[in-house]
Amino acid sequence: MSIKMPKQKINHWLDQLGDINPQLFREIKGRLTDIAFIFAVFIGGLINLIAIFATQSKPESIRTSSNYCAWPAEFTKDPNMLICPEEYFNHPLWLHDQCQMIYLWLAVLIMFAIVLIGTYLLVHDWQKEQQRGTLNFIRFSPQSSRQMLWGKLLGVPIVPYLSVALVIPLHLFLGLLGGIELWQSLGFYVVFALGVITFFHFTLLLSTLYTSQGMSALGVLINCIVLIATNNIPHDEAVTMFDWLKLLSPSTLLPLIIGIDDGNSGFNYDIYSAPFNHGQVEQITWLYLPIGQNGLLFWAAMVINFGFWIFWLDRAFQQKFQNPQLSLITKQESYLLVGTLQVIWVGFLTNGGNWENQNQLGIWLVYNGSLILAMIIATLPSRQPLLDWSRYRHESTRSKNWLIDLTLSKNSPINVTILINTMIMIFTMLTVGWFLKTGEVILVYGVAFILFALITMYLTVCCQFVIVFSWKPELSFIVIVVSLSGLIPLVIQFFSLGIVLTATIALVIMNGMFLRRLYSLGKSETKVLMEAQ
Amino acid sequence: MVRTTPTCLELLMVNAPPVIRTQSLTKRFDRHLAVNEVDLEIQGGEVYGLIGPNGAGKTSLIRMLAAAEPPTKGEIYLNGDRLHHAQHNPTIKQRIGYLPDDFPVYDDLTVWDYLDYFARLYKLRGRDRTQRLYEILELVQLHTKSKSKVATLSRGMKQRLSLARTIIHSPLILFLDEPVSGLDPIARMQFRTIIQALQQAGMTILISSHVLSDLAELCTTIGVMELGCLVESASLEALYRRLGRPQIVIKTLGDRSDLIAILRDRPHIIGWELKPDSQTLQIEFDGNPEQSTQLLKTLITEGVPVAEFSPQQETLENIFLKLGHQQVS
Repeated sequence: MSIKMPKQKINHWLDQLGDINPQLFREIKGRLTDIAFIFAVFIGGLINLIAIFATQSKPESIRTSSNYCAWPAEFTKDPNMLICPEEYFNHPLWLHDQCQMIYLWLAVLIMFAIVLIGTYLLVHDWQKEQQRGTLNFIRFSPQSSRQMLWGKLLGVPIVPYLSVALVIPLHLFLGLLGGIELWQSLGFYVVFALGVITFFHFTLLLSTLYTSQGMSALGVLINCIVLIATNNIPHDEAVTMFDWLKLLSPSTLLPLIIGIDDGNSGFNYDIYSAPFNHGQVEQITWLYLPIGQNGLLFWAAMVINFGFWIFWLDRAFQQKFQNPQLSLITKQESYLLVGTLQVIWVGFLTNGGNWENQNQLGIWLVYNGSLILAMIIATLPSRQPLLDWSRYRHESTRSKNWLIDLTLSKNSPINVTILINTMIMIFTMLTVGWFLKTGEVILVYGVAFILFALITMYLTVCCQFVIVFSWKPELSFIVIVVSLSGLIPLVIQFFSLGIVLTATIALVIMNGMFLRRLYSLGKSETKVLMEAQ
Repeated sequence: MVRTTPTCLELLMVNAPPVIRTQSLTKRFDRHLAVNEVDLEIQGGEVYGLIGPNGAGKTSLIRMLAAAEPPTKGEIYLNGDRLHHAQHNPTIKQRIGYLPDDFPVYDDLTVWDYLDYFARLYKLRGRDRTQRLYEILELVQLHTKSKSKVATLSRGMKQRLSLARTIIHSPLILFLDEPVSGLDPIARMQFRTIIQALQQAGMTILISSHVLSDLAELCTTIGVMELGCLVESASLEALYRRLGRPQIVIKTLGDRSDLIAILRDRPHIIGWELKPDSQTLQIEFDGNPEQSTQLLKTLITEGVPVAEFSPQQETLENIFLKLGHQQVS
């Protein structure tokens, strides 16, 4: 009777949950079998046990020079006494620091366990649903795709969630023993949860775009690289643009929460021996604002950053899920996204007046190069909508102005869009340069920008070539590689006006070829129709 | 006595807006025009059969109507509301049920859990949901299998389970794409019975099938698609009236040449076809029932030993072939 009662309650609770989110209900019901439940409890219990044992593992001997040895000051100069006598061992201080250290290790373990195992399970499940064709049922149902997505995010990794949930009370308790306030831990959990949602959104979007078998492994790998790489990038006064990457990992908050509001004067152990210490994270500034100095400010920055990414990833996911033929984001959205990111990056650039540093420009170019690549992928229409646009544009009730159409219309070619986005990037940098009155470097930057714009437009045209000519993937790859290799002289002869001119003419010719092909596709079909009539 | 004034119900039916309406609906796949400017109107309570050769655009049309595929051009109105494919359309989706030609299922769930999940997706709550599950399992004759895993069901059962999933929320409009393909005759008959029950419940059903005899039995209206165009859309009655000439099957116990000699001079006989047993003739006849009775009298008077004389309706297959479609699967 006593066992039946909680089971009935759980069933009742699950039933209620199923009315709110049927997808979550299905995932929990399908995955949380008795064996899975026992396994989750076992793993959670094991981690708890290991953590508790670790708090008891007092060192066998402590040197007199250690902070944990309360050796009377008058005896410190005795060269014969190297080992701290037991009665002088400062156990409360040692326990305090030990708890901090275990707290940090547990946080890292939780982070990796949820992100990596969760990513694998989610992508694997998603691939299975896509192959089976069962995702369409949800598309046909009145449930929103967002609700389905949350059902998946919360339900598919239910077993690792349960294990981690069992570790959380001990983690909080160890934090309290280590001098970490409850609100600090909860703050970390909020950032961690937002980070996990971001990672999961990203990998699910990736597997919606590419349905190959290796996606689950690739998703895990990318997330793993982000988590580890962001820790290993040190803060550098000369290249502050790197600091933005720190906001991409929830673990960046860890050194700040053990470093702030701590009753002790400084650390008794080397903070850099702690896991995921992120090295001098306290020196990070944004728009001259010392966000690294203040834990709360940094927490807010991370929440905003993850919120920003969740918003965009979710938007792209919803759009793609509802209609797989649509681009990830609209042209208007791409302008907004690029503009917002420029503001964020400028904030990290303007740190100590390092604008003239060549490395800063390099990082800026890498960031914006990656962003423009992402924008090409995100705004590129599928072949069918692009062909439909070329055929039915004249029948559209919307603007007949081709320039407006190319700038704003949903399925039009993206040449103008990418050009506008590139201009937004270049305009931002030039404005910042002018504002910081570093006119002497503008010329160098100007050439770099022209180069950047040319490469960008090359890529855009190449990608659209692949779409309208419907080449095989191997041929598409060869075309892109050959086209890009044409840019090598441009990169080597950085200041050669002749090369820049040649590249520009080649680009114009390629654009012309692309538009001609698009036009002929539309025209030929019209002819067929007219003949049929 | 011929009734000329329509009843109130008939007037209502005529004046009521169509439940399914499309306007210049077009779908292209690359350079192939799958659906070409289709203007379709289906009234409430109708069972509309969509026929046509493979690749005629039936599935594409149904997918667009069921909000599974966006049209290249054109508009769709379901129960008066415009279907915007770029939007989520929860209200419209609640009104429609769609059974695609492939029917993937969750093999790891039991029949009950499977339907329970879909009932929740369609926002059925509490006791209503449980009651509906019992009803639907009874309707599709799977009540004895409610605790079985979906993986253990036969193909016919899985197809019925898929239909149950499609109608769990009692939709107003039902789209069925090749629902009986690959089913044995018994399973097909069971399926037909369910569709008839749904029709009686007032659902508007659009069904595509290559089994024309099934459609002739189920449908009130027929639409014929060819090369993406809706070349014919009329009630089954009108179609029979217009294209389906009555036929008479005559079997003689005597010499068939005597029978042919008599028939050759008779009015209203357009042609005949000799059946494999060589004693039976299928006659194409454009006269009325009185004239067919007159023909029988003549045969008896002329001393033809008639073993069978049965006036018949021309089959849907023949009508379809008359429309010029030689490619029925």
